[in-house]
Amino acid sequence: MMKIMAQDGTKPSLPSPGADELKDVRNMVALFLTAMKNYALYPADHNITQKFMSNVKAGLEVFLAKYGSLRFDVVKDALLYEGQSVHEDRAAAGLAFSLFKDGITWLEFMEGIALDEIVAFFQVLHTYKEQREEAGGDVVTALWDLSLPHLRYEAADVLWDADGTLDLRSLNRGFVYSREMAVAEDVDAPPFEGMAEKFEETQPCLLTAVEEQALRHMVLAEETKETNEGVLDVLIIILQGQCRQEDFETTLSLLRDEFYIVLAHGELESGLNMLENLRVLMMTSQSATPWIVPMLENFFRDVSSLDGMSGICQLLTGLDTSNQERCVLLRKMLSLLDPVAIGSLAPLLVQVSSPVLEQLLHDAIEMLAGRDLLPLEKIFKSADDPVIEKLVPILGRLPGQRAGQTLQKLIRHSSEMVRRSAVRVFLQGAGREIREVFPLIDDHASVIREMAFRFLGREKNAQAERLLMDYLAKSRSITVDVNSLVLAFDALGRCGGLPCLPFLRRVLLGQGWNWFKGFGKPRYRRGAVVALRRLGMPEAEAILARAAGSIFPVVRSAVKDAEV
Amino acid sequence: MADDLQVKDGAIAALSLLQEDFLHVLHRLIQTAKIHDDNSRLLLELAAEFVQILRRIGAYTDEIILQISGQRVFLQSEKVPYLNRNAALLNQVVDLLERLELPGLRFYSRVLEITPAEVLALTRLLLVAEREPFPLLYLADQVPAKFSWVAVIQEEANFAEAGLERRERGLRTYSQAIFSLQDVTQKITARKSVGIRKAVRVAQKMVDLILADEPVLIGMSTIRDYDDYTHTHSVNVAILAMCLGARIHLSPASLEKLGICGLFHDLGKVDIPLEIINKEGRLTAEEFEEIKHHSLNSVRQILRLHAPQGMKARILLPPFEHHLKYDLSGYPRTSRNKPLSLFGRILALADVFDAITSPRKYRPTALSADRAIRLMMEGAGKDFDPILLKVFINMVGPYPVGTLLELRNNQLGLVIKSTGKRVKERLRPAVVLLEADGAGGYRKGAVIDLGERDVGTGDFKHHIKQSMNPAIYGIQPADFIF
Repeated sequence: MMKIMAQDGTKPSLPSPGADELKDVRNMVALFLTAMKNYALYPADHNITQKFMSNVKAGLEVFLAKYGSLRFDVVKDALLYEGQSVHEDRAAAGLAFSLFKDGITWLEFMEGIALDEIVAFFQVLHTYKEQREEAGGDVVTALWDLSLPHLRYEAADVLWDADGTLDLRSLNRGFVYSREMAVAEDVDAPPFEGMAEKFEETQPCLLTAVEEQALRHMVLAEETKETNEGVLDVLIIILQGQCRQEDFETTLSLLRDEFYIVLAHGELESGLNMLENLRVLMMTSQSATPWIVPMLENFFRDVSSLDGMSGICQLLTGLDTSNQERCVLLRKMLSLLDPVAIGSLAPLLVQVSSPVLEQLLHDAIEMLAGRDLLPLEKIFKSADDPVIEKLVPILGRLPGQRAGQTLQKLIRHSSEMVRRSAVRVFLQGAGREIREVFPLIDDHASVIREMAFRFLGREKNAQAERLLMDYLAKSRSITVDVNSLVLAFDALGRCGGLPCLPFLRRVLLGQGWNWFKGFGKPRYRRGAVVALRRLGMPEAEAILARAAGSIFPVVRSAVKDAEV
Repeated sequence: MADDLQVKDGAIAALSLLQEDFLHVLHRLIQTAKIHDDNSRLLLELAAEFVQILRRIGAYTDEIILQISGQRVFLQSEKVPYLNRNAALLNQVVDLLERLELPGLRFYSRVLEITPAEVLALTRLLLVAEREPFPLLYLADQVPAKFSWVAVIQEEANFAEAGLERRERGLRTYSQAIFSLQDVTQKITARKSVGIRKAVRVAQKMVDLILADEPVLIGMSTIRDYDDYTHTHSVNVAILAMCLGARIHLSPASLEKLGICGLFHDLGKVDIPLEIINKEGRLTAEEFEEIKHHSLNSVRQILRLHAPQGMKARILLPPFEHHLKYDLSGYPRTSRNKPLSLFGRILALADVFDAITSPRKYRPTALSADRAIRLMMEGAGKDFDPILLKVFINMVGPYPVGTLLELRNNQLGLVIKSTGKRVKERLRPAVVLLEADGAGGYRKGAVIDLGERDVGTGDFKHHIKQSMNPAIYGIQPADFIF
């Protein structure tokens, strides 16, 4: 039969527990102690911690099924069960003292206790294992807050023992009433005779049905709210008038926590408002209170760090891009962050599928990198190729030599994907010089070579013409694939003029013994035909006509094959 | 004898396990019956569930006795303890029985044989009674005629000892709140680090007390200490705010935070020069400007406390708002233009009520509660949330404990008991008559109930002429109450 505890917590007089019962209790205590020890060693979500918590639950289930409840009386260095000591400890952080120091006099585990209640209990013991003079709470306050349904306890007033109770009769003895003054002032307040009757008649404070409902709504809103609405505003106001560095730091710390909370609940407007206000504060503090600036810079770095950005990243990945208002808010918020935020934003580029979102990220990263390129450079060193590929276009839009240098480095990146992207961006950039581009015609990737040739042939250019002739002449001694060769001739035809005609004539019509080994190869002749046609000059046409009527079949066929 | 004890223990144990289910289903049954007819599947299921619970309890005992006394719920004469999880339910049950003016119900052993239909019939009868002018009389007449398994308890049980014990606990808790605040302010003044552990413990104890016996702590809030105004004021504000919060069924966790807000709402006053705080007479404009900084300073002080970040975040907004009015006028003036939080609106009500009903060094006179209420009603919708104001007035009533009343026969009476959840019931409180002691002071006389009627005529025996300012008579109400 279940043991009955009176409502006041006193124990009924029951026979002393038997040896088996005491042994079971001691086994339970041993489980508690092991769980407590492991809770201190490992994080709450660690497998080992969870295992020991489960052990406690399993042990309690068996015990409670057998005996109904498990109640300990707590004394300074021991736990008592039915008046018998079942555990003794002398350590300040021991089980008994952890409970005793905060005034727990007895503790009872009841049937039906759930694992999360047990975990919560050990969390409380762990959090408040040390006694602190000026603490924010203790075991008793924490257990009260948790209100665990299957854990009962009673706590003594240990915090006020020395203070006693107010002697109300001793209050105000030093105060002398000024009856005349009181009477004089009371004249202003007219007598209010018959209030009882008026209340009875009119019931002025009766709530209407609408008011009842409004009241229920306001209470429900209060009880279910997930953020401390308005706190950010107040903290900003406090910061604006804060002149003590220590307080400023404390306030910022709370502000940061609240910022994370509002973001976690998608309250973009509050978060944005806070960041804007802090930016303004940073600007206006430069001269009068310069110590504020580094603190705020730190704050922005914190909220923009990998840890700090988790909320924003969640918002981004879950953003409904059809909601223009939220997109705008998020865009503004991102622009206010520290550039280290790029470290979190960049990987999202390969996670999001919406073009709107990708553009939003691009814009934000570009804006942040414009303030400081270093975080982006770090990403280029460490990120996966697909991320880098997505980021490269940003470099093309950033002003300054450093961005260009970074782009140049990426052109030599080991990944073809990255190189291709970098080359594309590089070639799209204004004022690119031929000599910068020319080396790309030797890139391992055909697509890059194509881009380079296309660039070289985009307009008449003597330098490109000269370099291409040189390249083609030297190509006899190196291995060049057919496609590149054709592209090179094509580019030469597009960028060249009269100076390249002798070269092309020689390639197409030349008959020396050495031509047989080198330019004499059919592909060179075909390339020359391509170039000559691109030139579109009468002189070039004349060479082509001569080649078409050549006595050598290889020359004639080159012209013919090129037509194909 | 031993067997009897065992049976009783068994009943208590069974009830202990089933009491919340019993109350919960009873309450749901009545609420559901208000909106569904008897064919409703939900209603029928609830009725069947209620029958099952009655049978399970009935297996242990010949009768099941549900009673309320002093706004507490009792089952088998054992008070049902207020816990975080059941506080709202118990309040709802108390509300329900008070609306019915019903001190209790007694279910007999025949309860083992009843059907869900019979339970529904009783439910309907209770709902009809609720609309009757004299619900208890109606029930006392109808229930015996229609049901053999249930009886109406017509007299409220007197669990006076429990009340006394709670009163002692109330005073102890009130004292602890004062000591805790003194401790905090002393440490702040000495620029020492300050934890909020004690304040949290006090707030939790206050929540437990309020949920158990609201009038006890409301009575405590009439304590005035003119030498240490800020502390008593803060504790009073905490009590009034928490009581109002309990009235609107805020959860215990919310009440705890609200109480801490009340305790700390004026913490910023430690930054105001003592010569301004203690100045007798009217403040100059500059001095008042200084005073106006205290809301923001309270927030600053709260930020400095050793407390979990989450707790700080939860308790700093209401102190910031407590001098802002419902229409957002008041102070501090900032660019913030958002509606006040619920806690802020509650705190503002409690703060103003306690302030205008308390004499201070610079204003020795104070309004009596009825005058204060009338004044505050003028500010409904402008200064105060009109809905919360109504609930607040219903809560304190025009004559709360500590109010000095002049009766029509020119006797002076000090309100010592003002019970009942509805303001109507507290319009005629119990008073202790004050008799001149011949030395310029007063002594306690007889205790009379102003709600008492003359048996012959049915008229009230005593009538209130008006409320008076105790200061005019040199009376400290606490001297006569505790």
